[in-house]
Amino acid sequence: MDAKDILGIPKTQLPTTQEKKSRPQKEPQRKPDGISREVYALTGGLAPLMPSIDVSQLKKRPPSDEKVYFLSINFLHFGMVNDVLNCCNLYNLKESIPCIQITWQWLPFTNSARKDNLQLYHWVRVVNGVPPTGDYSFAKYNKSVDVVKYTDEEYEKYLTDPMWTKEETDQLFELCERFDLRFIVIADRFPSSRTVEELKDRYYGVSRAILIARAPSPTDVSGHPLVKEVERKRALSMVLSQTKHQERKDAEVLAEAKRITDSRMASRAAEEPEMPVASHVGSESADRAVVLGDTVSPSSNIQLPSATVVPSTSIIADSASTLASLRMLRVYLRTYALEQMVQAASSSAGLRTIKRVEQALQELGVNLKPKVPTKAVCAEHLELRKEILTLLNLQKQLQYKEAEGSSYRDGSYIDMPGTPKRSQRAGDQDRTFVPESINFGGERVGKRDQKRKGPGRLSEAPSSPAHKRPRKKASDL
Amino acid sequence: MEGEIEPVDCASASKPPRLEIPKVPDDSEKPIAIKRLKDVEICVPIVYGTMAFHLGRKASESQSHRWTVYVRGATNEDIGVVIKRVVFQLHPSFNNPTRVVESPPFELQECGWGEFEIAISLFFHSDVCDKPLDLYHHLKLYPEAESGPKSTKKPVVMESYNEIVFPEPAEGFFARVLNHPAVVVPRLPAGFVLPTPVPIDSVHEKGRGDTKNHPLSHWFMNFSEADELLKIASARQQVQAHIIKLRRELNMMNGLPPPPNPASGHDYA
Repeated sequence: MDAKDILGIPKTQLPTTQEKKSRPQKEPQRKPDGISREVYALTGGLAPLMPSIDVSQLKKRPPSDEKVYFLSINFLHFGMVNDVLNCCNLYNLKESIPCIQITWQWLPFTNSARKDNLQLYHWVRVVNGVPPTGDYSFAKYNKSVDVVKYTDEEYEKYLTDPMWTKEETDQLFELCERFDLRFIVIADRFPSSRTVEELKDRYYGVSRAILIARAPSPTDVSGHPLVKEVERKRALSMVLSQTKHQERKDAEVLAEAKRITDSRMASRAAEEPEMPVASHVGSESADRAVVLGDTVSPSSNIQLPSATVVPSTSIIADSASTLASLRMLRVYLRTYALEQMVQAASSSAGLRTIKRVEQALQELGVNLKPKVPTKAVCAEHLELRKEILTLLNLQKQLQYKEAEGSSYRDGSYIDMPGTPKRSQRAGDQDRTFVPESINFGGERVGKRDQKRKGPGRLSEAPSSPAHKRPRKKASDL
Repeated sequence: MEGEIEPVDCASASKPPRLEIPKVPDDSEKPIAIKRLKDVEICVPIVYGTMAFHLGRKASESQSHRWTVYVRGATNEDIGVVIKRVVFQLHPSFNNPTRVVESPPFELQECGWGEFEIAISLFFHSDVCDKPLDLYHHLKLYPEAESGPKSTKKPVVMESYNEIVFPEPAEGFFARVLNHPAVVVPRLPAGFVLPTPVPIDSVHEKGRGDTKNHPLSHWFMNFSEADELLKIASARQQVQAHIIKLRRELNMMNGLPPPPNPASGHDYA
């Protein structure tokens, strides 16, 4: 039982003719059964199923088209076109060209990746008597690491280290070269016991030192990862560990620098002919940012990576820079200017705070956006907003102070069931503290009241937790 | 535009002779440097908006209102001194939705049934600014309250007040508008020398550009700076007083002793 039986093809269809020439003429006339038309066309003629291949025949004669389709036809039927093509290629059945001779020969070869001229043998596909040329196909995968090689002089000058002898360093580098920086292996083979980290440290330290030492100028190597990364990480950690005070100082310096560049740009622009500036304002501010980075870093002695965001800027700095950017515009609307200034003033405030400011404005009867935005009105409006912000901050400070005081006191009373820790209530953050009426008559800001929903109410009418006194409703203006 | 002396023919005798402004022959190489006044702000208060009349019996499905969109000086003075032309961009369903008004009063009248946002672009004279300024206004046809029969006499008016600010005006512009009622110009220090003002190409010599006697002027809204200022000032006073109070309290609190105060024990009773 062979494949032919499975396919139900009569075995006599095996082509056995020796003449190649008669073949092509015969093919188109044969219309085999059991093979679809497309397959028939694909193979460029009759593709007899299941010819049996005589190995001796293969060797003796160049194979013709009909031969050796083998199970490839099966594959075609089942849609495995690639396999068909592979088979065709394997047996060199391309385009009905019968004259290519393929043989496989057991030939010696050399491997350029080897240094010892070892000669091995393998099967080689020979086409028309010509063996393939070129290097051993796997030689290209023989990659190695460029391990730094230092001279003794260089060692004396740059690489000495109290923890490492020259001998050890030399051994390390030899192993690195041999094992392609596979530190685990190197650590294992290292004569004296050193941790992987120590070895790595020493290797990279030496490499870095050599790199810097050999570089003709510092700028050449400043972009190299060995050098750049260290610097970058150091800068990052410095930024991380900056105190708030330092942050603010930095911000102020940056703002000042920006202002200076702005005024410089402005004066330059004034001298230049009038050009449409607005379209350039965007790119100018981008340029300014870049310039800023360059001018500030040397002065502050920190090379801040460009991706770092400047931490919270002081409100004054923001306003100043907004004013400067407004001046850069050739024309703008008063309302636009106000919006920008309001944004600048609230830059340090969170969304909730901003909402509270707006609520406060509403309760004071002031339009969120002035109906008559003249210069004076806008200025007053801005000042009002700033004052409300100050007020809110003060109220928050007061809360915290209260919380500190009360939590301290709470701590001394261990078993107090039913007394919720007021100090830990975060709910009050949601309330708007709107100072509407001033008639609080000397009530001390004591324990905070329970959280209430609804429009912001007065903060200044606290009740002790025991009673829930209704708050004084704001009197209308 | 302004640049060459034109020969005065009989045909164009009506044209006023224009001053020659010396120009560098090669425009492409050396553009003129325009001197600007730093720390000086020219401000043009404007009011823009719409006014819509219901057509009453003459109203149809597609045309229920006749409305006007306009930009005027806040004090009804002629803003043509600063603005050269205004482009109103209407809803695409209108024919030629881009309407250009070349002379003051900068307004446009149309009929329609729908409310939409109108984009208003202000183009200034060449010595003022060569960038346009964009405003947006929502056309309002229907009043807030559902007041019974729609009056054809009383329009639905929606106006916005704003001010156009020129932060560093060119000298020539400043000199030209120095005394114009439509423009707010700060006083310059004594002895400041300005160039001789050059009149601009005025297209609208024919009519008047101000809106003082505009047919719809009695419907214009009133914008009182004083009211708003007063309101804000009183609000500020309140806030300031409150701040003082809180500051005082905070200071008091900082003087409180840190150890637990037995007197407050009763709070936990």
